[in-house]
Amino acid sequence: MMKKLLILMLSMFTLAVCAQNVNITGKVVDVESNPLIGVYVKIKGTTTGTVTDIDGKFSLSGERGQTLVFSFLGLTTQEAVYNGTPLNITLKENAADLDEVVVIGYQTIRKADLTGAVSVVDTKEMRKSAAGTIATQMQGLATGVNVRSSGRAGEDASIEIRGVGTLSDRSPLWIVDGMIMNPGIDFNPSDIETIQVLKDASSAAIYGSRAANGVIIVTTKKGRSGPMKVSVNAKATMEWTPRYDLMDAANYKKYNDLAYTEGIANGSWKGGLQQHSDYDTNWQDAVFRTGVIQDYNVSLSGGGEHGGYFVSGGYFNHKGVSFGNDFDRYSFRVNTDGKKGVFSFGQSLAFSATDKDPLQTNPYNDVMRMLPTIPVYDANNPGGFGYGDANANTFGVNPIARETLERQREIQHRLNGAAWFEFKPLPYLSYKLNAGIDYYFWEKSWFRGEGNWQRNQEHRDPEGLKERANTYNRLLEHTLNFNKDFGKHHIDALAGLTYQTYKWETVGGSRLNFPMVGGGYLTVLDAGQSNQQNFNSIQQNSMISYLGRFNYNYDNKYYLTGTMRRDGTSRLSKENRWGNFPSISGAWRISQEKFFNVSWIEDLKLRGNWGRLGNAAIGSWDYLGTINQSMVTVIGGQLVSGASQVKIVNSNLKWETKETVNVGFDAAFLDQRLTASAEYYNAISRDVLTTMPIAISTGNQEGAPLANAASLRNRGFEFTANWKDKIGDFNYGIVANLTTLNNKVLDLGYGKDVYYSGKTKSEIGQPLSMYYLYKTAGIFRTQEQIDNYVTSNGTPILIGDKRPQLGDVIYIDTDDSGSITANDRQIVGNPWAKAQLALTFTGSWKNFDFSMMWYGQFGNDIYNVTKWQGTYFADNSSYLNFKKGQEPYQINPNSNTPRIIYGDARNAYDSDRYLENGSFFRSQYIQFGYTFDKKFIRNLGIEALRVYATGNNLITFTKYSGLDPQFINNDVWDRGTDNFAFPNMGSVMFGLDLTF
Amino acid sequence: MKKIYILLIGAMLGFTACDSSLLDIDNPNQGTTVTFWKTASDAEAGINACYSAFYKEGTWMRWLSFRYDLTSDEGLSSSPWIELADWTRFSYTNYNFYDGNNMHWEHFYMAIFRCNQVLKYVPNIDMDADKKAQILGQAHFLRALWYFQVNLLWEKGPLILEPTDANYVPVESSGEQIWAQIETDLKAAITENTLPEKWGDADAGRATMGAAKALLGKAYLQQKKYDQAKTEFEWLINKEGSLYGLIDNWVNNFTHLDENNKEGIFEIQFDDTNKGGTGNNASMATGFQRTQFYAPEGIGWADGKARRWLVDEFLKEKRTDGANDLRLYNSVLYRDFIKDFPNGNPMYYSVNATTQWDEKGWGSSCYIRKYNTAYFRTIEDYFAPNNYRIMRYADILLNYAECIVETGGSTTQAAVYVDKVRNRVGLAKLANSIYASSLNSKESFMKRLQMERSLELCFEGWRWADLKRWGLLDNQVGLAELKSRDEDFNNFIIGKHNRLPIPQIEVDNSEGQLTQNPNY
Repeated sequence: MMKKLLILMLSMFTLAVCAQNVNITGKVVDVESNPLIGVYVKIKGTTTGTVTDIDGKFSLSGERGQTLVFSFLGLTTQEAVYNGTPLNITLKENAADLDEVVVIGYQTIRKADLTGAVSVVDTKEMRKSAAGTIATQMQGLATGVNVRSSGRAGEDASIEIRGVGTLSDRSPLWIVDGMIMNPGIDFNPSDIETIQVLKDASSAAIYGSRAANGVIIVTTKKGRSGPMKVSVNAKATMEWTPRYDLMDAANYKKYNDLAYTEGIANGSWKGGLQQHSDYDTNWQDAVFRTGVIQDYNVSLSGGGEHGGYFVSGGYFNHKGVSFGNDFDRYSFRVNTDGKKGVFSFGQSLAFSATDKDPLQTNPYNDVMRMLPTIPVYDANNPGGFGYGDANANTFGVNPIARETLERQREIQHRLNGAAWFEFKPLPYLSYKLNAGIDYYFWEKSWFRGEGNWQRNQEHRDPEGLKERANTYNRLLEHTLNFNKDFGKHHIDALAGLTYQTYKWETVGGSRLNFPMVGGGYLTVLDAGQSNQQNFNSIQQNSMISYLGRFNYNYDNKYYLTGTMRRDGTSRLSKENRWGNFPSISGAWRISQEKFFNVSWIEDLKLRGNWGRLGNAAIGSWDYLGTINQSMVTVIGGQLVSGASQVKIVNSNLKWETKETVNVGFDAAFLDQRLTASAEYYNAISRDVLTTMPIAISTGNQEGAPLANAASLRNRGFEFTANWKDKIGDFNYGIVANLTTLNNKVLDLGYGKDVYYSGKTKSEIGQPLSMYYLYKTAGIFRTQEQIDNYVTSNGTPILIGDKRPQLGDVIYIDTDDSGSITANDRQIVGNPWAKAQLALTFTGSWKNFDFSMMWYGQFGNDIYNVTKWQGTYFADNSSYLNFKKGQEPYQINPNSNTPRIIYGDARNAYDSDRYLENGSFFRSQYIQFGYTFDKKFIRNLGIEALRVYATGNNLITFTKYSGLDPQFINNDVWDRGTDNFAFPNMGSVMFGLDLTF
Repeated sequence: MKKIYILLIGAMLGFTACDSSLLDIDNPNQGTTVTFWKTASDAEAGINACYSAFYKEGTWMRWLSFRYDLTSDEGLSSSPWIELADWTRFSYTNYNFYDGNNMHWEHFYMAIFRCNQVLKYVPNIDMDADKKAQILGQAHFLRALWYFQVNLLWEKGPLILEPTDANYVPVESSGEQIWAQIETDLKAAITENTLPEKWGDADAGRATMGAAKALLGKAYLQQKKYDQAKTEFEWLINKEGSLYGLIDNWVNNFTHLDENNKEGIFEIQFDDTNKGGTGNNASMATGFQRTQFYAPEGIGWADGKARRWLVDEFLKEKRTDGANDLRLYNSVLYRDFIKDFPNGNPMYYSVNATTQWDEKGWGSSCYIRKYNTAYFRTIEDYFAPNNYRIMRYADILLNYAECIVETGGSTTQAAVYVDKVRNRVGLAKLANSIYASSLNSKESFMKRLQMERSLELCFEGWRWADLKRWGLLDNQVGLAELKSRDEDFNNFIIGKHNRLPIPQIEVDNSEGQLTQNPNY
């Protein structure tokens, strides 16, 4: 009713204002010929306007020959000239058409005029994901953007744009409504209107030093002219984790006894067999549960010609798949904008409150380390939980115990937003002031009562800790925009100045010995009776930038863009503080040339660019050697303070830079049914800033210092093809994204030619972090093989000072030394995927719609630590079930599984036995939806109603035997190792979108 | 009008144009390497930080005893953590095993780094010359102490004498070169930057002249430079009665009841006030953790145990009053100990130690009792307050006796010093004991001395150095003797396991300048 009233009022308003000669009439419908209500109709160049009525019809006074503009939220604005006959207008959805406008940082530009690599993420596709953060929802929706979920409630996914750009912090720069900030877990993704990903140097150059990992520009929704729209959506999701195929107690006992028996015979175990209990605990059943996500959003939006508003509220609740992991988020947003003469302004402000019970454990490790013969609860142990003993010997953590005994809660309130003011004295000149804030107020409370979760835990008095950390992030920007045509020459230019400051401060305290009152602890710090401690520390940094951009095009055919940014950061020493980040790009829209006469190609643009970006996303004072003055020692029976440099630093740290060359084309064919773009990129990252372990004998402690650790080259191709068509009532579309990646080390930190890290070796000229492990050749099945296991001059080869026996692993004696030593390691695997592929299908038929996305990664190797652990018999843990035919040598001499021996690790060296093909292809989501006919719901006052169901990660094709080939390892020197990484969850979501 | 607008914009930009001094942000959390090392108090804090390096798991605080006591024939590890136990029985698979190898390397060189900072920066500080010399002397002593451990474990390593930066690539120095530096450092602490013979109570625990002399003597001794060793030890022996001596109650060498006494030459000052982790902050742990690792099942982790032969050796000889040697009672907890010591306390911490052997599965294990805290606590944790005595006078007496016979002195002459140690615990002089025949030759005396050292000093961290020096690890005869006491030596390969493998990652990234130890 409200809506009709508004329409009436607006109509009256327009009638009162206009009293012209003719009555212009017409009807506006959508592509399915449904009448569109509330479309704003305006006569171009005047203030005359109206909105369409309930049947999509409109009428207003005007003159023949005038141009009418039709606009509607979410649909492409159209213009039409009134020539006397009623206008029948069909508004199309905001598809990626040529007139699409993209935000490229301080400016918007028609997509057709782009000279750099920019991906536009389809925010409608994003909403099909069950995830609660923007990052997670973006998976596979843009070329070259790789998203990996954290698998935990209340933690954001990680995003990488085009492989590894920087190594220290691979997350891209996020700009939300002009404010530089990471949306993270506090952000409600349903507030988003558009997302643009700036991937190459020329497109991202305006963000200079901060853009080496790419830039993601998020714009939240704005109110549009028209009556208020109320939109409600609700989603409920059930999710589950992939599981290991672990042995039950009976099988565990069988193989454990076998390994012990072998150990006794072998001399590596002096005791007897374990006296197993009768328990049969399925730890995975005990720890994992069905996760539930609930997501509710309501938004109100609307506005008039001179202003708009968007207000939204959301509630998101995530019960994680692991015991002891929950997350709650309340979010609220107000966006407004307005205009008065030459002045305009806008504002966006979001507030969120989150409450997280984080995981204290890694259950994916724990369920494999706990034995099925250990009960979850054991009243004989302090705290009442089972964790094994001499006859169920493991040092695994009982995750139920730890999550129960160690209580942690994190509450965060976050306030962020930006306000801008624009002054446009001349049609071609404007000035804009933008000010943004991003404040976090974080509280942590942690308490550990008496009780244990692991064998051999020392006595610890009840302990409590409270911490408060505040973050203040502020941004101030001035920009001047110039935009003018001179005949066929178009020039626009931008100049600006920005200043951003960041401050973080934490204060906290802790105590021991909390009293128990009435069966529970008093956990307020004041109740603690001893060891009062407190702490306080600060991080602070700032950045000043000067920026400029110049765009020129001639006749929409030839384009040239030059960008320059000069950044100064407080995070580097005075000498190295300032960096210059220029870029240049050009494009040629061949299709605009007269000689170009190919009827089936609507648009063809060639483009190329070069640019330099930078990165200094490091700690505030990483370049500064500091003296730790708070350490203590005991002298004369008293604690006295000591002071020393503890951590070694590189004071000459400098900007990491990334130079990129991009060459590509964009084309549209066949009445725009097919659009395609292809691109070659060659990116050289120099002086990559990351931690790089240094010689231990330097005496360095508290972590490896940051270093300009390597220079890398990433190059490859990107292809995107988009096909859209309809067959009768059936509309469908296919989008394919393919990215290839080739990684090479150009140089390494500290002037090294080669750098070793645990399992990997990085060498100039080779990909980074190649697996450097023992190479194996199956197992010894015959005595003859053992007899022939000799060096070239006949010396018998020893493994761990002993000759191998039947059933042992055959390690290759690479250096022919007669002994298997570290010198026998070889390059045996590559952690880098050669290609990523994403395929999206959409289809609709009448009221039904369907979409699905598949994502895959190909050609990389994964070192599977879970496989190592699950088949490790030298010490105890739970075991992975043996596949049929792959029982250990003692049982099946024809299998590939070696002899299992307790107390002897000879068959479990870090070798290629644990290296697996990491390629996969999976259904990221599959969705079915149904939109109700407007005529049926209109009587209910409802404008649109759609219900849908989505399945995430339901089907995966892979040879990888671990839980999930799509995992995150943040250690760049070991990025391909699945070290009990959290897997992506499978899920099914049911949702409802309602607009009225 | 246009001009006004343009002026307006220009003015707005001008007002806010950024001053690059906005980028000068000082670190408010800590002082910097540039501003430090200027005052006398900086120098004092600097040397204190060198002592603070003892509170790390790679030192005697926790794991180093596994290398010296458990790897030797005195002890064993039957830790349920297989790899941990493997590193006490010559079964080394992963040369980067942190708790058994790399952590020692890291913590020794961390401590050396702190000493190097003092030795580099303190000389330039304008301060009282005596105080400065004492600070430098302590840093020299401590650096020598750590390089001593480097040589005992790996027999070679980088010899770093100045603070290094992140560019540093390890370059190896031979064991001989490291010994030479140890001598140089200790001589510096004795002559140029003279350490005091005794500190005031407020400075108890700092290195003294006697500590430097004792350590220098031990460095010579380990190199079999017996003459020079003897001279250094003599300095301490001449101060018996005035500065050094044996305390009456032997067990108080291992309790917190009588610390920094006349027998203690150099002690790690442990304390249970702080209950934090082993970081570098105001709440960092300063307690002794080994007690938790050696205590029996149900009290501690039982990761370290004693070999039974020690018990048998102790029981072979009665005191002059006919009772058993109380050192046994206070060194090893074993089944039926109460029969040998009827006045002993059956309670050990909160459990009755006479009943646990069958009930709790202690079986025939022998537990290390030395340094236990059961005399005043019912539970163990990671914060025992007992000082760890790295060097005590009894040890020096026995070292001195060894020097005497090795430099041609008579066994009777040498026996004087052994007898001091024996008499204190109520045993007869060697000449009057069942071991009188040990005085018959240098060889028989040395064999007896070897045993006397074990009985007096077992689990005090010197056995591994002794085995190396006595050559028991160098030939099949010596090895056979060790095998007869400790079956772990069946894994021992002569020429290989005499030393640990160098941490592999350090070798890998040394550009060939630090090579792996032979046969690894």
